[in-house]
Amino acid sequence: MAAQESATAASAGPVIRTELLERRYGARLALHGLSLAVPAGSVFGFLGPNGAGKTTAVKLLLGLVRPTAGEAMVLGRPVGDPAARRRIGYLPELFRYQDWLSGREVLCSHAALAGIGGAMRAEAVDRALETVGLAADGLRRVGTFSKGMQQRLGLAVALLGTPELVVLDEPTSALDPVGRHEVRQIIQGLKASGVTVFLNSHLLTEIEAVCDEVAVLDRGRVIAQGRLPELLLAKGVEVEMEGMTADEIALLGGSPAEGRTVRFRDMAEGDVPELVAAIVRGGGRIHAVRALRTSLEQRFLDWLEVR
Amino acid sequence: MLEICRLTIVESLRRRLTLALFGATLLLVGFTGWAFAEISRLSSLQGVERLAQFSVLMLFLMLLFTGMLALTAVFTAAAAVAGEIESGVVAAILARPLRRASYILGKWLGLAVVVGAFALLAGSGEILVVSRVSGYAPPDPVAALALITGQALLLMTLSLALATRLSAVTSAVIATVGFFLAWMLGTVDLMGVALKYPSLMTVGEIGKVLLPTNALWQAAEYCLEPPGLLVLARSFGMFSGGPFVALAPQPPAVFVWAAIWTVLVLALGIWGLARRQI
Repeated sequence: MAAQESATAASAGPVIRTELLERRYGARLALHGLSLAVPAGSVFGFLGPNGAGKTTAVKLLLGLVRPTAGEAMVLGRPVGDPAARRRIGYLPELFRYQDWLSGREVLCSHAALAGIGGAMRAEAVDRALETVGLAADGLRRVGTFSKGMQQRLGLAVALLGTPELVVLDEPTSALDPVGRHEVRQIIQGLKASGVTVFLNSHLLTEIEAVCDEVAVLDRGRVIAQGRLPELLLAKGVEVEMEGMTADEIALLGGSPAEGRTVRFRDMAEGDVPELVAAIVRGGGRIHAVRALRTSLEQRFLDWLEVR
Repeated sequence: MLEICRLTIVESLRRRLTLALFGATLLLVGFTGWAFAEISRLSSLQGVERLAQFSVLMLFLMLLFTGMLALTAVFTAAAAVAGEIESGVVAAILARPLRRASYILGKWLGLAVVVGAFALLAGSGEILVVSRVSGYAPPDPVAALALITGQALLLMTLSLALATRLSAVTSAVIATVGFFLAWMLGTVDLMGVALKYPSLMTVGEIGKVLLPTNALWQAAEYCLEPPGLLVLARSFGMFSGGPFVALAPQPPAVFVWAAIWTVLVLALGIWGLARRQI
């Protein structure tokens, strides 16, 4: 059902759309001119260093904080609209739930607030507990949960029912490596069922592993945005080749790397055919030509230096 | 709204607030019964003098109870709202399709059930035990209890509204200071009437408008006093009461204003949370 609704949302436009969204706290600009379009069914990574404004942006999208300028639409409705919030699951960065309730009671209460009633409520709660691995601990008081278990509970709260958009603010901050792996699988499961995931994180491996698109935020401003494979493309190519000396390769702008690989950096895509022709003319034999890729971590550091 | 109300009541049960209030009720009623029985046994007063003695003692007791109830209402409400905002629990709740006004109204309703139940249970216990032990039955105990409960709910509303923007401790302190200030201004007003000082009367009237808790207490006081004694007091030329005497009932406008005041402050609380960045 969520997948069908998401498909409808996809035809209607992006699930999240913001136009020059701004939030100011006195003289401090927490978020500056955020313009985003998150496609339906995608896993969208929102990354940036601590204090970049990521959580402010998430809270703006959920109507917990009001913008001082700009506008935003979520699931086709203005932010904060209760009808849209009915279709959103949210895990806050500071995940805190009533420690005097059991995990199951927290979920039942959120199900009631989300309008999930009757027999569907118990079923939704069971499914959410099962998904996050808390089925055996549902009757325990939240106050006795470890931090990791509380984060899992928060994730279960976000997954309750059939949300079309799941907003996760640092969902693995309290989890061990196994827990992080499980969360990645949950996110991939959501994507497979057509749910849009807005993932706020500064853990680059997490973003790189699951996201289709990213926006990078620094000091309240977006400094890079786009599809992840394209963003990780470096300007240039690496050529597996032989038959040329190091000096001849240097004359063409290349630098030898490991084995037969030679890297030609800072090269526009349109110049590649001419490079290949020049290598062949110089007596070189080409085995493969690949676009240069970089890690998200390296890219991230490059972006932050560029600002 | 009803889910928030339910959660508020469950919280008071799970956090053992209800148990503590129940224990306090037993302790209070038990001690009152013992104290009044002792006074009754040892006192040599008879007739009107005995009536006067026990009615004044009951008023003193109910004044103390009112103060205790006020503090209970103020601290419970402040912790229930500011505590959830400060801890971050409210972020996940308000991300749900729930209007902030419904959150506040649900909290108010849940707290009103807890505070109201305590006020009615402990208050009626106090009046019943005093009547039983001393033989003094106030003329209108039901109205007195309703007014004392109303006063507690009024203070609870103030504390709740403040807690939407301030910390739990600050909200509770402001509401508590307000309660005692209103009591002091009420006494100033009575002095103004007795001494015919218009400036004191004006200050007293302003106090009544700003926070009508003391006016409700005076109305409750009137319901607890023996009517015969009031006639006697007036015949001696007393036209003003004191902290333990109310010679006249409060005009209906006081009750209307107290109700309007509660609604207005609750609306302020709703506005306060609506403007708050979570």
